[in-house]
Amino acid sequence: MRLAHLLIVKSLVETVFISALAAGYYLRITPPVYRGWSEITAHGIGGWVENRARAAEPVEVQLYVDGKFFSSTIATLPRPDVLAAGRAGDERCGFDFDTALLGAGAHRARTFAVHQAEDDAPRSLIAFGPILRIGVGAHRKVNEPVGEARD
Amino acid sequence: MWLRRDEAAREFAAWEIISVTLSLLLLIWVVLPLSGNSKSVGAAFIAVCFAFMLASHRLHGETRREIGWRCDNFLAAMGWVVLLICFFAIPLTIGAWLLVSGSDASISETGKLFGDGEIDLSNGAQLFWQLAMIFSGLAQQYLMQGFINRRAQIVFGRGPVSVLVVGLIFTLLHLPNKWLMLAAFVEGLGWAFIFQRVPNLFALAVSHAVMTRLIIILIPDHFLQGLRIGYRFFN
Repeated sequence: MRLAHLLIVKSLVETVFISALAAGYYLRITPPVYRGWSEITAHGIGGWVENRARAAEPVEVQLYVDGKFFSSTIATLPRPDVLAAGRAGDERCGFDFDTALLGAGAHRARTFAVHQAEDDAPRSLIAFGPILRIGVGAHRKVNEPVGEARD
Repeated sequence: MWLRRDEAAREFAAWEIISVTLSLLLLIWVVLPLSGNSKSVGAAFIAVCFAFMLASHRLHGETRREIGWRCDNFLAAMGWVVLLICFFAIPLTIGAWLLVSGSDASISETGKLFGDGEIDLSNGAQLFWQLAMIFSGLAQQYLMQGFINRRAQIVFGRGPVSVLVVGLIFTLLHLPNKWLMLAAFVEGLGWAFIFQRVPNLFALAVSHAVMTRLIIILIPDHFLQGLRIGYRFFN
């Protein structure tokens, strides 16, 4: 019976060990420190994002349209309104994507903050803001986003 | 349901084999990848397994001599080990020659450990890595023979079935590196066979280091994939 106890204790210790390791890995790869918003603007898709753990460091933002990479930028545009509202610690947290190259039809777009814990660590994408639904008419030369929805 | 004493002992021994094998697989496939191949995290995880094995030896009333931590039969064990090395080296050399003749590599290219340029064996690192291989071999032999082989003998008795079980578990631990798995299967069978006749972990550790070195010297690295196993194999 004592051997059975040993086996149970070993299994429990290993379960806790691996659970803690997995939770630590998840927090390291997708830390809950990114806060931001994205919306449809006159020229495309804009918004703001910051890393609350490192507010002074600009965040790299990637835009995915219909599940595919569309564009990337660094969020350094001034957003005094976000700072005034107390949503961000630094006003240089804005970004803007031009979606003029989008083809005609309905599209789903989403913005992601790029996170990398250390230089040699894997990069991960952390979604922020709503999923944006963009309708682009076939007759328009310059695409104009016409709506948004939050899933 | 109450089991007879020997049936219960067999069942517990089987669970011990499963538990330790799963711990090793978790180490290779989950713990090391999640910790970024951190040796300290891996050591902490496997320490739990070693603590369990030590406690299990106490509960089974096993002595150090029975487990193979002894020197009195070292020479007798080395006799078997030399036979095994010869048995292993001849087909390995032929196999390596066939592999090399069918590829762009040459045998002289294969004398590096763990891939091009990662570890230079041309200077003082030679002795360090040889000692590291012996120490690593000792730990692996203790796990495979001192623990798993002894428990397999409780479950299946001494003989070909328990030898085969040890060989298969040793092969499983080298997934998914197919060439290393093939070598591990042959080596695992040989070591399990020798341990059941002459239980001496030190002699097996020496043979582990020699046979690993033979593999590194004879087989081109692009077949061995830097001896990587588990999740790391795909990196």
